[in-house]
Amino acid sequence: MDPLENEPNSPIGNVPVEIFLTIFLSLDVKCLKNLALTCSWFRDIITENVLVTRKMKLKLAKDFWQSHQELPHFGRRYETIEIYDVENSHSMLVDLSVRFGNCLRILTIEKSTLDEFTLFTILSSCECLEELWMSEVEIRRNLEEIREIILTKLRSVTIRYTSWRVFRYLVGAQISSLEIDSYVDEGRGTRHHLVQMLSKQNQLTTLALYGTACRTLFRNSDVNWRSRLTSFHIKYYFGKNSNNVDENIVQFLLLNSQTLTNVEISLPNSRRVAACTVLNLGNVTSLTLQINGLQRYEDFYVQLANEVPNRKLKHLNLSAHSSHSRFIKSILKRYPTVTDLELRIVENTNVVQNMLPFLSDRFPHVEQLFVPETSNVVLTFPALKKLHLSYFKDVNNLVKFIGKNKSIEIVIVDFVHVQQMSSIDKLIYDTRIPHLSLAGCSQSLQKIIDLVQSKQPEQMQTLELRLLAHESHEAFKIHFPCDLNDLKVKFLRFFGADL
Amino acid sequence: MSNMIYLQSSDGDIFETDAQIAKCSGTIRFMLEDCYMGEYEGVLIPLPNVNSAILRKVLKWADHHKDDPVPIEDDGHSVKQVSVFSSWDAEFLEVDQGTLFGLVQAANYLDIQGLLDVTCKTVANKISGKTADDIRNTLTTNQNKFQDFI
Repeated sequence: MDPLENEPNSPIGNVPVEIFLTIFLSLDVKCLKNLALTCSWFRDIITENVLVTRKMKLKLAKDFWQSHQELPHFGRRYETIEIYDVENSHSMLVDLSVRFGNCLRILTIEKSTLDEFTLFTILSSCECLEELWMSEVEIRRNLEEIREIILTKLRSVTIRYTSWRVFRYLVGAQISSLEIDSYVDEGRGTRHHLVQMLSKQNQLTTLALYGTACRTLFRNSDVNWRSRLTSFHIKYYFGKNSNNVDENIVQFLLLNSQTLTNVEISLPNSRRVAACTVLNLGNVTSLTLQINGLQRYEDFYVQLANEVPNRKLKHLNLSAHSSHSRFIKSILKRYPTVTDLELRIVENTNVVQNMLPFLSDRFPHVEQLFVPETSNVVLTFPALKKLHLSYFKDVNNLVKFIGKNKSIEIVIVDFVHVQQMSSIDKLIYDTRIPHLSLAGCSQSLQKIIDLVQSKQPEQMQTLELRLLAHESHEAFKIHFPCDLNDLKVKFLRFFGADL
Repeated sequence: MSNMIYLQSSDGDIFETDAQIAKCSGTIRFMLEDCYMGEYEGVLIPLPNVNSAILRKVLKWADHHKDDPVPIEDDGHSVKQVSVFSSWDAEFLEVDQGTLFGLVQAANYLDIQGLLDVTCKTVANKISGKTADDIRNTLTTNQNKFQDFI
């Protein structure tokens, strides 16, 4: 008999509370709620510990407002509140901020309409607010002048598809991280509120401007930048900046050239900005750069040849619609110690394929590699741990590549065609990869499930399946060894109607 | 040169083991280096909170992981979480609830961060995605705890 069965005391009862806390903190909120229903002991651990309760959110949607009298009866002091799909309901929103304002740390408002007075009242009562996230919020004007709101703890602000009028209320905060995503010109007539707010920031280290936000902010050079940034991201998909905007971005980059370490410049037609990024940001450790048009910029080649290599850069993501391998090689030579490399050339994947021997030769220390597909020639990357491919044409080449590079722990393939299902078993059973992630259509994934259900992979630890049409992009994860009997049922339940 | 020491479980069994393997435990390492000043060949260390079945498994785990890289200290306090849960660990932890929680307790008492990480992760995986009833059924080793809610 197992001696454990003779233990007089229950093993669970002897486990210290702090160990259960460690376990609980790794669980999602839904699971914590179920745990709290199992017994009063677990419920007390979950409801009384600040770290665990911080995971709990109060989500208020339109339906809630029909019965807002319930508000005072909420026992828990929520630190996170999400307001979703709410038409201007001043009295209820103010009730909410009175009830939870003094403990609220994270406030999310999405797809809602507020008037300025309500917004002012909410923010004024949230003195502990650390994070503000607003998306698709219509702000109705009804205040001419306001006094400054002191938000001493506010550090992170995200404003998406919302009028820049909101920045009028944040002038009194000292934030460290700001993200703005604009679809059209949300800054029209309200740009000066952002300029005024930015000119008062002494602690800003991270700035992300997506969509038209970059073009609107850098239209003029009237921001008095008081702090130096470490992280800067700009991205949009279409159109071209005026020369004035590009010049202002370049001046901004030069101003922060010594401090910037994490940079993303994804502007489709701004070769001057891209060139400045490569040539002038010498302390960058992570760089995402769109290089469209840069190869036709003659001065760039000359200046690049004279530059000292940047040996600090570890992560490099280069993308372009089309490019020449000679040009990409010249950029890569600037960053000889990259360990995480992504090459996303859309039009001609042969460019990257032809470059693989160069990468194998010059970048043997690469640990993570993203390329559209591997080459026909089996190359060696002795330090490679993670291989990420858009697709593969020939599974045999991929299997050989993995066999030759035994250090690989994770393989991710973004698209597996249904016609490749007849040979997918080679990838699952003939390789020794611990973690494999595959994406495909419903038919492809169901075939993979059928295959795995018939025979458990011996070497694999995790198989991740991602459905291309699935809204949440969440992956179905299988941890081996597992019970294969109800695998298909769980899979069908996971993706539901999307299949 | 091997340096053998002896560990005594709560139920009196004595286990001989290499000191280098036993030193994956912060508790034992502290005793050997601070109490015996490095002269510990043949010493007997009593472990009153770990029974022989659990201690045997702990030593098996420690022996398998003896060549693992030493965890990096964060600010001199906690050690980094293990990122890879090996298939050997998964198979090793295919045990009944009593043994699993016994290993959690032992890892905590002996201060073996790697073992604590994988055992806690295993418990979390067993709980994750289950209903309240399923969790009760999973953690059946102590019905009394759940009595008030059943």
